[in-house]
Amino acid sequence: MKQIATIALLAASLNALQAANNLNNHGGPTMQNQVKAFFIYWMPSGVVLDTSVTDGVGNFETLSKRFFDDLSATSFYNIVTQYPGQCGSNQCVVQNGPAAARFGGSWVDAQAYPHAGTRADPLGDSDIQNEVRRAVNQNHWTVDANSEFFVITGVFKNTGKGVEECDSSGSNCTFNAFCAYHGNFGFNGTQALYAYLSDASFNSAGCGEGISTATNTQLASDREVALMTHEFIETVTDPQGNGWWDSSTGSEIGDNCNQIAAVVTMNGNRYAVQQEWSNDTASCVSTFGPSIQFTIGTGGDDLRGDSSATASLQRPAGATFETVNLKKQNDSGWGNNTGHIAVAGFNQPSQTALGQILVRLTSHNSGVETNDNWNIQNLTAKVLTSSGTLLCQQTLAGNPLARLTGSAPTALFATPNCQPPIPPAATFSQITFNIGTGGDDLRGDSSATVSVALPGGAKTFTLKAQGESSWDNNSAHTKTFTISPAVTLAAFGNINITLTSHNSFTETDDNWNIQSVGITAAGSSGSACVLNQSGNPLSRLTGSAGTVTLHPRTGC
Amino acid sequence: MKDLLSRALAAAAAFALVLYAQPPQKPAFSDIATHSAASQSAIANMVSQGIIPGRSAQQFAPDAPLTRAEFAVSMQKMFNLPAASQAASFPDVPASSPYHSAVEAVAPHLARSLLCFRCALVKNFSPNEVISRAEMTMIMTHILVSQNKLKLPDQSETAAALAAVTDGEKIPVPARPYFAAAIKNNVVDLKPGKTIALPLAVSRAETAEYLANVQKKFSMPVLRPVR
Repeated sequence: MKQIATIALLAASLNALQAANNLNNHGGPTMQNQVKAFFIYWMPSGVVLDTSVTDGVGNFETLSKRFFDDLSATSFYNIVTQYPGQCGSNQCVVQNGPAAARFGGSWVDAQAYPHAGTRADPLGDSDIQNEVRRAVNQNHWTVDANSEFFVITGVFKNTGKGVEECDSSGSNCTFNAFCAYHGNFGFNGTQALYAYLSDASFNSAGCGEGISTATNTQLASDREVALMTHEFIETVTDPQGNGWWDSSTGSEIGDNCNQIAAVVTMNGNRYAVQQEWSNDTASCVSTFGPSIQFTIGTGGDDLRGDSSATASLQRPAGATFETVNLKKQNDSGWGNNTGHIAVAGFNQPSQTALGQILVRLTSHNSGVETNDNWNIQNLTAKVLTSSGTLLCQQTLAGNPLARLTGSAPTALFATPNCQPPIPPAATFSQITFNIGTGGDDLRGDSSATVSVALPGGAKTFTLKAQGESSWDNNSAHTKTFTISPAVTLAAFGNINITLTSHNSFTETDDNWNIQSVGITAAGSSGSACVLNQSGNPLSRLTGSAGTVTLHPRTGC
Repeated sequence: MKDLLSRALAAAAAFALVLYAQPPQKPAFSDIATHSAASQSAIANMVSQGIIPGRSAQQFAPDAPLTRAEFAVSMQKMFNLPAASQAASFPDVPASSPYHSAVEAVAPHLARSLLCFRCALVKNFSPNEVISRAEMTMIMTHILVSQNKLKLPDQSETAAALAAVTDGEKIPVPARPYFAAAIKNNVVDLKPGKTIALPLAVSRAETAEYLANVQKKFSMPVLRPVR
């Protein structure tokens, strides 16, 4: 709350005028499941798709169809899952997986062009929109928010020159500006999404798409598919021009990687595609995932526009292995009772145990602001493979689930559903203790030991020897020991931590506050939580009560 | 000695100022006589500074459209854009091209994704293509903004500036602040019917007038006369 009006600065960042920046969300929709693609090949007499093949077509049409047959549940399509759109007051995002996208249909239209299609008399954008209308009506296709219609013109067989077209401004044309573009127009009360694709290989202004070798035996077909992926992925993430693009340069997801090709294998078939921009890595990519997807509902106290929020992904014992931006400073604020989605790469082996998530609010107060407060009403975390398969899901809710403030800016959420079961036969040969001291230290002349009950008898390890540096108030200490022979996780018995005072002449017995204890075991199968406990203090050891007994598998 | 040197330098600078303040001599172009006095003056001004060279000693070709390459050269010269320090960005303007330096200098200001929003852009610069009023306005405004000579208006100022422009709706959303700034500051004028006429080619005479106006309006240094 405590919202002070802030001005969203949309002006260009002049230091980065031509740099590839991350994309900004402009608050509009993105396409949702199931995404469908329709192809309209507009080829009057004398126009072909490829002059290098005898029938003028070759695999030009079939390759695009097969591309969409193969696209679903691929790591290439998974890139778009980073970019949520607006669905009412909540955000929503396209889900990858089987049948996430499909080929809708195709049509070859031999109708004459309304213009010559030459430089002197190019087609216009209104001609392309009319062609979409004609194709939809002719084929009884359905226009909706998740369907895109591609209009492809070819090359004049007699001249070898591509058909020329100009966009609605009239100043951007195939011969001086673009290889393709996408747009939207009103159609029977909804928005028709479409793209115009010139015949890339025959566009004289430079549309080779970075491809010089055919992946599927016909260069023109491969280039056209790559060009199509540029427009298709842009349409998914910015269907109406108010979705995801870089505010300073106007670049959409494909523009930052324009004509940078990659070969991907989808359903066993290879395709030349254009790489796409990943906000997660701030780079051009042809694959994304595994990923973690957060869906967060704000309650009765908003997250201000100038505040930021992160989620630290932690192992069961509490070690952070990755931090995800949920909301960056100056991204649009998260209003009361609204839902938001943040997606990031889950840069760990898929079997990694996600033990807990630490959400942190950071206030960036302007001159007159005080710290932000934010109510989190619900939180869902999904770990997904690069093909969109759900590995685990943790859903938490409350009223509020947590309230983050300036003085208490973090909340810790356990994610037991995301700890994959440890194979029963797995053995562990190493044990690590993470111990936090509270408000009463462990003196330098005191010693501390830990005794772990194991099948062959208890094993005792020295956490701190007499004469080692003291463990000061509110300090953390990590000690690792070898266990031989290795044991299974179930073999760990009770754990006793013991304080021993070695008083000098004037000293009385030491007292030691233990604030937290995290114990993990490690072996060839990975690591596992043995115990994870904290309190204020968890235990106070004194001269008369120098030992605390902890029970394995508590807090894991 | 030091004092004498600085005095001599100051005197030389003062002399140079007087020299540069002289009205530019009108080149003897035979094909500009029918143009307005203002146009002839602007042409003479731009030619004398080497910003827009004549096509020959006698011909300026005032009604010929300016090419992209010619415009890049003009921009580099007038705005003192740094020479290229990188490999060719455009396959059709290689390092061996006489336009390479100017084209690379202008490249950061082409702002093609702003002007052709939602486009998959071509790779070529197409140096011999004519430059449209849309491109000229965008490039010049972009440079002025980057050199802190011009500030982009906010959303409401942009809407106000473009409200009466009949073809304002054809300007892509991300480019609108640049066009609003250009109109507000007379970087570009409106054609009859209050239209920017985005696709219209800009003639060499028109360009001379636009550039002379910008140089004066933004108090940019007048360049050493070309001899």
